[in-house]
Amino acid sequence: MKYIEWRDEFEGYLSGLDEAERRRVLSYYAEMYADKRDSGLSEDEAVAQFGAPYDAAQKILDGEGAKKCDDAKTDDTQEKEERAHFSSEGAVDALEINGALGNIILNFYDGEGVNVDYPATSLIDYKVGQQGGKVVITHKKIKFKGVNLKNKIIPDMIIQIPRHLTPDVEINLAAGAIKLDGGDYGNIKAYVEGGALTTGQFNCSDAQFITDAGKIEIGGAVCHRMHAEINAGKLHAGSIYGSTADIRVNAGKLNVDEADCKRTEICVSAGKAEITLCGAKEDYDAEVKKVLSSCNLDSRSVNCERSVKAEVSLGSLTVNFTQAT
Amino acid sequence: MDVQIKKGVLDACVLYALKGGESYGYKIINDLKGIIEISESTLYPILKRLEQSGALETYSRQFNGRLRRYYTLTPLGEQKLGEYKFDFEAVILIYKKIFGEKQ
Repeated sequence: MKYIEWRDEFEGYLSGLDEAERRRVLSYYAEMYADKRDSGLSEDEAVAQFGAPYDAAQKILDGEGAKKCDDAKTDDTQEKEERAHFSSEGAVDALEINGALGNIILNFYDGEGVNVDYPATSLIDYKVGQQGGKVVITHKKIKFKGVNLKNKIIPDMIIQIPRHLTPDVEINLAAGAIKLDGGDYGNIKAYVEGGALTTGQFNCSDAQFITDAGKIEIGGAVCHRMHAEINAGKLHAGSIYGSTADIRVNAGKLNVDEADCKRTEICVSAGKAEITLCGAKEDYDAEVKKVLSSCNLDSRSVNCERSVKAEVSLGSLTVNFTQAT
Repeated sequence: MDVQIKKGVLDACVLYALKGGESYGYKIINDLKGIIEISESTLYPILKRLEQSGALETYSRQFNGRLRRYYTLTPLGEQKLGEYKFDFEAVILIYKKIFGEKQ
């Protein structure tokens, strides 16, 4: 019997299991089969060792029955720990995860395989698509069901991508929390409609961060161009180093602890912005436009290598320098 | 073998197979060959049960262009293995008392 035939028949007997568990069982057998083949067994021999599909499935289902009895004995905390598993062999073009809550850990391996480890519930939908080293995560559509939500509605995500991969990353966050590990990326594009996005220290080409109401915490950025837009909400960056930084604060609050860019442009139409530039005031050309607002900087142009341009129509802008004048 | 006894013995065997460090499904089965004959379908529920009880941790890692699930013992798992040793010693004593030849 061919392995595919065995697996299809086997899967047919697993209909009593939920989707996540069925996938977990199938990937377990897929791994077993691959290991058997790697150890030198032929396809027929490997499949023969599995036994009849019905018998194998029965043992899995019996195990499930035993599991349910055990579960009844354990307390609630045990349930939170439970995680469904999904693993895939070979290239994955797109992956969609529906219904997840709690911790999500995505591991992307060289664009070859994807491993997702998440506790299965049906409160929040994730959509994860990976195409040629590009990662797109859409994290929204909160569906409320008639269940007791407790205080576990906000999930955490950790995205780990190997440093040598340098993929483009796109994150759309509507609620909850996402943490993007530091590392090297192509372009980073993040739109935070709500919730919180935290990043480590990253290097990338272009970085774009927009928040409408959420919170963005950037550990550190070394990038060619940084574009940040705060329509409301909050953005804090530990450091921004690069060629240009273009920052717009339409409302909300911006804090940059340290910025060293050739050109820094800050436009504050409302809200509050505070930025500390590397070097002394004398190291920068400044172009400042103020209307009904406060900015502690005045225009000057003496052909410095670095420049800062500020347009403050409402709200306030405070520019500090790491070196005293 | 009685189901309850078998369950305990199998759990102990799998915990023992992970005592030396991380392992994966196929290797666990092969490592246990000299001790107990165990099939893939038998192993799966045991691994799942042990993972759920917190006795082992699992993670996937790339191997040969595919993902393989690895298992390691947690401190709780090591403790459980120790408890089994204690239990089995008690069972051996009982065995000797019940079935042992009279001195």
